[in-house]
Amino acid sequence: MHPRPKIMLMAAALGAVGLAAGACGGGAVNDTSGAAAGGSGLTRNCPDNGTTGLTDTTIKLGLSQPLSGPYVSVGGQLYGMQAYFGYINSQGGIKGPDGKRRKVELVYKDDAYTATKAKANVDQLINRDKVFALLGQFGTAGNLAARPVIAQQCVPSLFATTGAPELANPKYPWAIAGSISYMVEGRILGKYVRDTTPNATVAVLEQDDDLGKAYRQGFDQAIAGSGVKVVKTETFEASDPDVKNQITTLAATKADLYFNISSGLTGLQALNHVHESGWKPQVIQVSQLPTPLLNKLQPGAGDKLILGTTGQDFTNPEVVRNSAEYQLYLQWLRRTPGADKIDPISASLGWTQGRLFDWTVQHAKSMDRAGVMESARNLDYTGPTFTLPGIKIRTTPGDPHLLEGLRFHRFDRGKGHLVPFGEVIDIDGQVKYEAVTG
Amino acid sequence: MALFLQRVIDGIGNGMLYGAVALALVLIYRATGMVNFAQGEMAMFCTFVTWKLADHQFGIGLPIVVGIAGGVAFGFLFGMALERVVIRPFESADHLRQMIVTLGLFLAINALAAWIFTADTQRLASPFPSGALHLGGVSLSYQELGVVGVLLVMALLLRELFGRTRLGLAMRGASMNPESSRLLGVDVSRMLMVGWGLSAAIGALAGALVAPAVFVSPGMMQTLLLYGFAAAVLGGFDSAPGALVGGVVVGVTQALVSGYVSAIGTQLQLATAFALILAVLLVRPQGLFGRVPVERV
Amino acid sequence: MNKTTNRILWAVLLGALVLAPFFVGTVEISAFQKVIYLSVAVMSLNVLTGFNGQASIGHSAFMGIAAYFTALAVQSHGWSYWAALPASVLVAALVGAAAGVPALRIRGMNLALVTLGLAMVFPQLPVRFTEETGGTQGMILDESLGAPAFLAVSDVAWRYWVLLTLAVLAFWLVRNTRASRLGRSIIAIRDQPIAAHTAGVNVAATKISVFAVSAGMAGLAGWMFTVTNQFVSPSDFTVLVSINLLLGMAVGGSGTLLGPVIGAAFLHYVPDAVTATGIDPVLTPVLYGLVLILVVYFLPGGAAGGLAQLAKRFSTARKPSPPAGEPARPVSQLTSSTPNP
Repeated sequence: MHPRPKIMLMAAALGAVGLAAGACGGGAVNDTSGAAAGGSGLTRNCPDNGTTGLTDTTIKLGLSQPLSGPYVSVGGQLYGMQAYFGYINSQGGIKGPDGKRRKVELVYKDDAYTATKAKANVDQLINRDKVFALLGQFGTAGNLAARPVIAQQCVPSLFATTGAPELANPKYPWAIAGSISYMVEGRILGKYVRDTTPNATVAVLEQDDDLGKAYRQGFDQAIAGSGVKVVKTETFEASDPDVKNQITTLAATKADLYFNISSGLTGLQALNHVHESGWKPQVIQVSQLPTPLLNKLQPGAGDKLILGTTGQDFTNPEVVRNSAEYQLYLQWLRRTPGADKIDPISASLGWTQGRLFDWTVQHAKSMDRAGVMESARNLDYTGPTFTLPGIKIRTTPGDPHLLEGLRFHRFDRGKGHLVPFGEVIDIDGQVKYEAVTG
Repeated sequence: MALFLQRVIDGIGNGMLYGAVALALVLIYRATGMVNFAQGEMAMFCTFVTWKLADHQFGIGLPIVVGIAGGVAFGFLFGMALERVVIRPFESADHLRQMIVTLGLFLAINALAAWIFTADTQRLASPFPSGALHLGGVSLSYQELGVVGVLLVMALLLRELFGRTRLGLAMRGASMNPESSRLLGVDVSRMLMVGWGLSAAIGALAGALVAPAVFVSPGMMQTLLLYGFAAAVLGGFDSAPGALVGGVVVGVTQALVSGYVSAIGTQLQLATAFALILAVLLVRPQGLFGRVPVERV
Repeated sequence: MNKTTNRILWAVLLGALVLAPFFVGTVEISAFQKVIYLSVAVMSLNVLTGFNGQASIGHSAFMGIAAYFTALAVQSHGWSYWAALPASVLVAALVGAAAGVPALRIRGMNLALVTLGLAMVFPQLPVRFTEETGGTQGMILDESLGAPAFLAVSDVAWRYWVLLTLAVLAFWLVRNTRASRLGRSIIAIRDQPIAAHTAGVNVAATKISVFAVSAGMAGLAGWMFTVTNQFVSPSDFTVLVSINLLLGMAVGGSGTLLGPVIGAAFLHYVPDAVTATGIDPVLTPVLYGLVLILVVYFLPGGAAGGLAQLAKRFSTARKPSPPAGEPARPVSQLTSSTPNP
């Protein structure tokens, strides 16, 4: 065991030589970019002039999202985005405020829905691949984990795929969410309940995380002071194989309404069990359960279900026929390699994100990161869209919420799609940033 | 009272799902002496085959019973093929190496299913009618009743297989004492292959039975796996009826604990299963029904 | 390969690692940091499984406990990272010792089951205590482990050197322990439990200490995790992480110091390499699974064992090679076949 100390000494000596040599080196030792703190103003403390990732003819974008692992099925947005950029590049590229057209080059990385990996990916996209901006960054935890990196380097993270209210935090002006905030949706659902059934009793199944808490907080705010009363709340974990036990507890309350704050598979299980239990409440469903999934319910289980959505329902062939934008999308999606394996409806999100980015760049005052970010925070989008007519797609510097409106739908199992009713409820401009307190 | 009864019934219903997974684990343990960590994933893969045969939208649209039969048949061949190609070289290896190999299968089969079929959640029709029987404030779904019936029959058949038939005895011999079995003219390797085939077939059946409740997806068996292990450990890891009883004990415990012990609530349900495994292994390693100590070094 | 060349190789490797921050950028250095903590984690598993023959699918939990301990201590209680270092390692070691107690009665596959349970339950705990830990969203740390002002080096480089030094120390400790009396007892328990007992080895105490040391080392990896990422979340410590550590151990080979480093590099670089080749990343785990099975079959000593074998074959003149189909007996086996008592 004698050689080891010698090696350590040698290493230390080498290190000393390196330290001396390093004064003129260009490695990580001298890279002090990590020292800059995230500022509150857009360009304060930014390390460069914000044109990284741009040439006169190209613009480089980055995206980290699940491409493997248990949540891979949500990853379709990549293909939708590629479809849009395929389309716009064929038109010569995105037109910037400087009059130049730039083709989009999209760099994407797999994070398997792990936040730490997402953060490392964003770090690489920004510091190694030198992307101009991030688009459609996926998942709440991944977005929050990567936020310090984004803030430090002043890189716009646009229209992130999450509804976490935290994305509207004014302390981090470089990120903006693309989906409706869970809290805003909860508030509109609560408003609907309060207006239509002012004395209802409600039983709630709540996903035990920030998503569940955000929905609940918005809902509670909206029903506060009315006769609507939550009589029982049960929570569940993603690792629960089934939520039958919880539904039994809720069904025992015989409440008038059942508020189902659960998504995907668990949402389906819960609705099936409610149906089997013999309890026949009016079901208020959060929008995290898309129509293709609702079609997998047991016959009868979705009969008394209503939900609010921001987007048109493309499971309805008539809606597909009437949307020129959706036809264009499908046409370009078909030319996108690998897209044959994914569900076009969920992938359409990526197309929307591409559209929004295009618009944001076109309307920017200057062709740099600050200009584009400024533009994303002063957006009033009126171009082609998959969003329901009547819902504003708008941000202001004081209100970064892109979408703040819903239209209510019934689920028609026979036809296999949603049927809209009532008017759009849009609370644009009435929403301030608020942390989830749970 | 109705609520309490309903919780017990829920527990039995869930417990049967765990018991279904445990049955396949027990079978492979009895037939080969291995604990197979890929058991759940194999069952998932076969369930996707069933789905492909039976689904009207994405598959061939055969009647569900035919689909299940197809999935089970596929499972038998799949299990035998895996044994022949992957497991046989490790037949006489130590447990650690066998464990690593089955974990390798776990990773590979899971990802292959997502790639070959889909990563999206899919619905598998149930062979039983939908709806529920309502009796005095308590509801019993036909699906659950059907699952209980099928599994009871399965467990009894398996007990017969290992207790009475030549094949069963030969399989047990091959797994417990391969040297003597060889001397007695038993083709040990073939017995192990049949054991893998049978347990994969049972897994395919279990998958089809749990699918109407947990849906079909590459992750469908993963949340059930620990509960399945708990059920198997409780039943002694070598008794088929024990696996079902173990499943029911786990399910009912879980339902009552999450319903009435607020400190655990619904958040630490997995911990309940874990505590059961630990307690049984410490206090009574042979489980409730095991006749021989299962402890192997 | 004689001792002198071996030493020179190690010195060159270490020297290159020490000097790396002068030549490569921050992104690469952060990646090196990950390889370092993964190496320590793989080595920790190796101590328990490779040397002592006890299987664990629970090391993600030991790592997670220390990582969360550090995060909570630094973020919520104002500790420094340095104060959290010994404390988090100690906490992990204690939990490991506690897990070692049932391991006296529960062995083989059943122990694997128990550790599987541990790994599956752990990610639930931060969710259960969402108020304190941020739940599924994870927890961002505002403080970072910064370089002392007088050194005038970047924080990234400083963190890298801290991790490198600690990892070298940990590896050095493992190497020394293995050659010691304790180390020989540990290996004796794996290979000849009954003989070890009759020879006066206190099997129970040794087994519990091995569990504690192994978990403590996994805890060190957990501390490094938090230092590197300034972020923890339940999804970082799932049972898949444990399976990956087993993969890293099998790929690298368990008997050598180099094995865990090779294994860790494999774990870190292969997924990105797969994405880069244009293969559907969905298939990455298939590759993992196949590699795992093939390595256990053809190269029970892992890559490091294989290298040593190769070197030996070149240096010692023409010995008959082992018969085809029969895997070569490695310098140090990943697992030794344990005789039935």
